[in-house]
Amino acid sequence: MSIQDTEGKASPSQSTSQRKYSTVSNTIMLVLAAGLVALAMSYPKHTARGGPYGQPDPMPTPPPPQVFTPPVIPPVVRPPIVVPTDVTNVNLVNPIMVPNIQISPALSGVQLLPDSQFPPMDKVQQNEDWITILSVEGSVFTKPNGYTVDLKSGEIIVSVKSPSKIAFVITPFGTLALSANSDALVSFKDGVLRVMNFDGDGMALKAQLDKGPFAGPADPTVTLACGYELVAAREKITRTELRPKDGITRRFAKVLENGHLAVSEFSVESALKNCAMLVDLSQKVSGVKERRMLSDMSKMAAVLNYKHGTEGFSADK
Amino acid sequence: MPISKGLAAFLCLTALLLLGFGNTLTPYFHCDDFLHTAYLYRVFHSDFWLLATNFFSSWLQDRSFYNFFRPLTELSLALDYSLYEGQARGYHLTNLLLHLLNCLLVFKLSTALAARYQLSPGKSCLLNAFFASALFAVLGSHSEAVAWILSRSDLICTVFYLTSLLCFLKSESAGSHKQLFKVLAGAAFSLALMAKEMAVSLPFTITLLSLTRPAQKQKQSPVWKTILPYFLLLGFYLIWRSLSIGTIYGSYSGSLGEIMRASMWERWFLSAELLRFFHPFNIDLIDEGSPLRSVLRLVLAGCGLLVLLIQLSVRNPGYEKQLSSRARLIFTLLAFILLAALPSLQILGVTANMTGGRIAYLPSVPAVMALSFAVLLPQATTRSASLLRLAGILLLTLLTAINTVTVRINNMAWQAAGERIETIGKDLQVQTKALREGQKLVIFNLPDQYQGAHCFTTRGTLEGLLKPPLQENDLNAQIEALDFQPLYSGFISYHDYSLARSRPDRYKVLYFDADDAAFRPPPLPVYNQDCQATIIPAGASDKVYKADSFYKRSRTYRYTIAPPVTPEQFQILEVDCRHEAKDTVRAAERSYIFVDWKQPHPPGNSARTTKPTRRPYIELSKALKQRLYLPVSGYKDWQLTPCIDSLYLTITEVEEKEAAPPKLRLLKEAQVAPIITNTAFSNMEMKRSSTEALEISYDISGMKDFYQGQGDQPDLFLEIGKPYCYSYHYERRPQDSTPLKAPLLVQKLMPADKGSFKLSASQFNEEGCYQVRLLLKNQEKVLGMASQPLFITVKP
Repeated sequence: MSIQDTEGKASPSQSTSQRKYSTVSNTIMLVLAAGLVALAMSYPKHTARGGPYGQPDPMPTPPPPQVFTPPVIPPVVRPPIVVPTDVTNVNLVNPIMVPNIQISPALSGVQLLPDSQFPPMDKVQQNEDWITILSVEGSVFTKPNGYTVDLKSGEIIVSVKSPSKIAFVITPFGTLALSANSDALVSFKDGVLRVMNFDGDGMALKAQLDKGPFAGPADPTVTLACGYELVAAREKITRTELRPKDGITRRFAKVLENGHLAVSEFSVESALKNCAMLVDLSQKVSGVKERRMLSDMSKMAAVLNYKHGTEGFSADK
Repeated sequence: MPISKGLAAFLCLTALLLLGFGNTLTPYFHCDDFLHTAYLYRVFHSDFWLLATNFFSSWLQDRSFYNFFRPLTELSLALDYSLYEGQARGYHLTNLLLHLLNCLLVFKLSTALAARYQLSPGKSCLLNAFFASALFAVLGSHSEAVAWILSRSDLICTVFYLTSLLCFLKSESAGSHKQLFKVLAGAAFSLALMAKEMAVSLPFTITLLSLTRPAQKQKQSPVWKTILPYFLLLGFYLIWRSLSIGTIYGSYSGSLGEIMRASMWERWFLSAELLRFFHPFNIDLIDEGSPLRSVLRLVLAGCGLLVLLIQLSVRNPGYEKQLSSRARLIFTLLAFILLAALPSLQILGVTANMTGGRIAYLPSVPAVMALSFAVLLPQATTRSASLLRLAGILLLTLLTAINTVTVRINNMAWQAAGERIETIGKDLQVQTKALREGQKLVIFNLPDQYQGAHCFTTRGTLEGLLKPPLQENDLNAQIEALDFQPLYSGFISYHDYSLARSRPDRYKVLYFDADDAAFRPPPLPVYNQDCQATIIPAGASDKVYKADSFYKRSRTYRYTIAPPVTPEQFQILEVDCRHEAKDTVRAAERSYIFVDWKQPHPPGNSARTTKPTRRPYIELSKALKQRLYLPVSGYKDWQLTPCIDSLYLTITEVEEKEAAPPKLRLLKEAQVAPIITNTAFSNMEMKRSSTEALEISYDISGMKDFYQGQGDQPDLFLEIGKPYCYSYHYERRPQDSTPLKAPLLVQKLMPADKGSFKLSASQFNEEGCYQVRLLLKNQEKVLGMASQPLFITVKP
């Protein structure tokens, strides 16, 4: 659009054009004039704001306040191993609010680890002669390599003795890593994974549970102390899974991870007497590895009995 | 133009400017200024080349809530830093000089345009130009643009924008220097673009000027040839900027950008914010009954009538031609206003405190020129014309005087805010020195704005205040501010607050008392946890709640609480409402419920002067019967009220028919929403380099009563949004069915009363702040929501 100016004397057509522009200019100026008057009469709106109130009501006298002095929190004496994942324990969810923390002794057997502390399953250069896998009849498992067992179902005992360094057990709920000088029973039956650490001291047995019910954000990586049993289940764990009628005596059970994980202490001594595979093993007359396994377990049973005591162990019948 | 008159005009403008803006030399830094002082300290002390990266990346390399490209502005700030370092006065002086330069450019541009449109060659147009520049010098809406250091982007952009226009006009007439002026116009346009994005309108303004040029100038080169170089420059700039900031759009980003985009129509047109530019009064300093407002109305009406009178009364053929030229010029200027304003309309709104007024800085140039040319006849040879001209001079003088007074008062907000911020900086320095070893200072209730002047809006703005060059040592490690999550809001996290209060050995908690501008310890909590409070309606109390003129109708109910409650006891107010929302056409008139309570004077302070600015509110849907949940505990004012014995509930824009007062009930947060129980403050932080996962615990055991009887067992979902995008996080509403836009992660969690989940840094591709939401859902219905910010950093 172009608003043109006209100059000189107007011809009839120019005169029409001039009138047209005169009308346009009048319109523009009238709109401007009307706009200015409208602006003068307009009121910008303001959003609501709180208060001020009219005459204040007489304030009822509040009851004399009991002045709350924030409690001086006594230093919390933590047990040697604390499990931050124990969210079912209200005392641990917010330890500040409740000074008297009660922690189940069963939790001493399990410790949460960062995922990075779980050993990588890359090719391990090691002597695999001292990795032993024993299984009960009917167990389904494969051995992808000399130090890894892929357990589908059944019950196995895995033993790693020096100079072998590490062995892995892949289960439907995750992977277990057994370092040197550890023996563990691993069973997977009816959607229940059971791991019993017979003599792997320190952090010898680690479990990374990241499959099945543990897939997703809740994928704990834990280490299991010797003399403790870890039970993981697809459904919520009940007493039947926690204390099976296998003759092995247990105490101090604790359910974790929304009921899908549990830990309890068991008597290695009673396992030596009642676990079918171990009983079979003890009756064998030959085999260096087997004898070494039994010897180590027996010693550990004695050590644990001495350290933790034997009171409170019981078995469901 | 004789030199003496030019000099006189310059001196008058300088005097006027000092009269209006002299008080902007004293304030301290404000808000985003602190991001720049901290940044420039880094530039001058460790990495000088960081400054150059502004030409190839986002401004300050920050894409959090802003994504701008303004390297020239940063260069000017760097120049100031090299001269003044942490002395705010120097920066304000530069702003004032830039504003003076703009006033002179307005003067020059007015005379150039008057000559171009042949209004009246000679002396009389000088007066139009003078009034245009004088009005521009003291316009009431310029307070933010001149008094806030960081608004310099507007000032610099306007300097080069107007220079480019002047050079363009010169290039039309200058004989031998034609090409030189064309090059200068292009260069000035480029520099304007480097200062602020709003200069993109310049090629369109030049197109407009080319299309409306007088007849004899139309014989010159065709329009397309004239405008082509500007559009080529614009195209080059857009490509460069897009490559630098990673998007063609930029501007405010994240949730802040989304809020602004979503409400553009509502802000400008439905709520009539545009009108505030013509009534530029800060409502906190100039109230609605002020005589200034009335005088301005009278003057505006007078201007309108004078324009009408000029157009109708002058019948002299010589004048008709002059008036026709004038109308063409005014049409051009009105279109120029629109073009100059369009790029900024999406960016901001203007509040009743004139916050956001800076976006009117450039558009006000054509506005003041149009007013000056419309009201003041350029030439008068008859007696009646002389009278009209005299009336014009009188009205423009009055308008300039009103604006001078207005802007001086408006500037006081920036002055007061600056003093307040400086006091905060000094107080925090003293408070940190008094901390015991291992103790941290936890502060809240910092001002985000004071009477419309920006104070602290993001965590970075406070961090800048606590760093060199404004402090000797970096105090940030010793101070935790609860106000930013991550933007400022009326809320603090109740969890954070109670955590800090429960550990006086580790945290010293202080709040900023707005009344006496000092830090004070919050009121001692009253131990009364097991009390069951009953809220009894105490009758309607019409007109006690001042809802201002925004809502046409509102109804207020008063309740008493027996026994009185303490802020720690309850977190949620349940409103069982049977009111029907009005089916309004105007979105700005939605129905809301506001909650208020009496706030006694803080101890040691005899009179409460500041008004409560934020109160819990919730939108009323059209459903007849609804149960609404207002999270009251996070409101800072709620926490600062030692004992609450009465409540006021105001419902706006409801149907006229009478209804019983809504039933109210106070609840614990755990009863209606999942609780995220962390061990640290709610601004969770995780380093990207870290291999460790962050474990977040939750608890929904308290909600059993709430969801039982509402169908099947509900599912719990974890949602993580895009960086810096927050959906209803700041409102903290326990029920919100709005889904996240393009969430980064949606994960169904194991159904359990209590549980935890882990987040590892590797799940996040980029650093930033993410919203973590926990939603308890039954089918698609959201039963309860918890929201928490999570910072992913790349710090080593």
